Amino acid sequence: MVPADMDKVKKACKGDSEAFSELIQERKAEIYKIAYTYMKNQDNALDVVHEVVYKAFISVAKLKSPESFNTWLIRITVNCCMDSLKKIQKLARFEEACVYSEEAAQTDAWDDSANLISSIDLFKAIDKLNIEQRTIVVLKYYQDLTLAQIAEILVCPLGTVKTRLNKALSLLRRDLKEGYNESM
Amino acid sequence: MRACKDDFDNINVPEMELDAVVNRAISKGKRQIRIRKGFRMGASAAMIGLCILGSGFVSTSMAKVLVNIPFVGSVFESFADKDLANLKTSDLTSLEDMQITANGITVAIKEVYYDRSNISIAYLVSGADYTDKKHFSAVFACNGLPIGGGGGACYNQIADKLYSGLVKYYPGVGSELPDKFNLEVILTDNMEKAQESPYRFVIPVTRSQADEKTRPFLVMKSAQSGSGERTLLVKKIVFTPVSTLVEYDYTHPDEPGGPDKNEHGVALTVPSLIKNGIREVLEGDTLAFQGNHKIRLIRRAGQELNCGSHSWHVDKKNDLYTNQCRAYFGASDDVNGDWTLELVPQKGETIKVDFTI
Repeated sequence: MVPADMDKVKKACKGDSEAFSELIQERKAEIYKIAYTYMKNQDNALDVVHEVVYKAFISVAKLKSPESFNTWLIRITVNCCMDSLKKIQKLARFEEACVYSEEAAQTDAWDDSANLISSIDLFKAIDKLNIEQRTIVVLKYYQDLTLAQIAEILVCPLGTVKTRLNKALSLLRRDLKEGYNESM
Repeated sequence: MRACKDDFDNINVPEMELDAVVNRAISKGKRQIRIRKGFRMGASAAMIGLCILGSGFVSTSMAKVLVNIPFVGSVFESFADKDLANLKTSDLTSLEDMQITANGITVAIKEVYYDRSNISIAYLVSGADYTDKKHFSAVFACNGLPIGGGGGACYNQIADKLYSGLVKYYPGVGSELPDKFNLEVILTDNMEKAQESPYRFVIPVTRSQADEKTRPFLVMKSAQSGSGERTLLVKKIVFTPVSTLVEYDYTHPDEPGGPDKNEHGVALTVPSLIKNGIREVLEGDTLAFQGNHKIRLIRRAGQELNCGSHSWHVDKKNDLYTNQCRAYFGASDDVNGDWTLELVPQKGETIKVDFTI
């Protein structure tokens, strides 16, 4: 996301709806894309955008640190996506598929993961991940956030973020191998 | 990695739809903030302070010298409420000369809407500015008795010394209103002294038009918690043009969240809460309860309707309490299909009743 203009954020926090509107205009496409990666269709993604903008508008006055506007907005987006997914009951079918041994996660090397992920179809790959893993992949690889920033957004320890990312990459690797073997 | 990032960047963004969604969300946020600044009446007790209302009302036939209020068009429409936006002008009763001027302030009721779920009025106040602390709100009565229930209001400052108000009111359990009656309205900027307000109106209302677009269904389906000690019975669901009303009974043992008790552990009843000189609203041994559960109405296609107002009336029999409840949700465009009413108690497991329309 584009860096936030602090003057605008401060105005928005004080109830200036024009400033808020401008901040959203600059970020609406990013919010939509994040929502789309979760929801997989335009209508549901637009519903999420509506919820995100509405929630942000009525709570921006409570934002304590204007510097964290982008992080705060992404957190709202991720939470709205999760809530929407839960509502449409798309979660349950991924739970079993995503149980991996800690050992397998640890042996997955970080350095070659980038090559693996680059060759997998985005939406197909993301569908294989559970909600926590999917969130981390979206934030890490599509929003270019650091693991520390992701930990802040998800309100969880940095170690948890690393573990979940490892598991996600492990799953993507397995998916790629299976896809490759099937194509042979 | 680059290819993956490109995939994300290349997601097609529907610009027009996105703009419309963003604008709608900001408008909704503005309305919500206005509503927060307005008043909320959560229970019938808030209405009890109103005394007998039988005299001094203005009716449509009592036109006086009218003050010209510079406002053209529909006050309802100016609020662009999502649910009320389903209404057509022909669904509303427009009032041309329903205004009273006193102490330099003119209050004019412009439109009224009445159906099986709610009564709404739209009005203008000229000669006073809206402030958070001082603004005109409405109380409703029928045959001199306050109508119990809950609701909300929102306001728009239109110009200097001119603002509009929209009050939506959902009658509670025990407030059965006739198809057609004279709605008595007091508009006041001091709720504690509502009975002294000079702004009193009588408006003939009928819901015959709204009834044509209303679809009531008898459900009568129930479910129990796993332990069998709690039961949810969905009795009726009514889809009106502006909201969805569900009537249900929730039977449960004594538990945190209700009923309210005195210092000796004896359950309080509504009559025992009523102060001197204030009339009783609900008849019988109605226990005074705080909310002890949450309720959700979900279409199994994925849509969840927002619960706007929720009222109940509690009886006790054989150590079990039964909340007779009425909950109001947002309107649904397409009512046919599978529905779930989900009750989440303060203690114990969630109970779900599935039904099909």
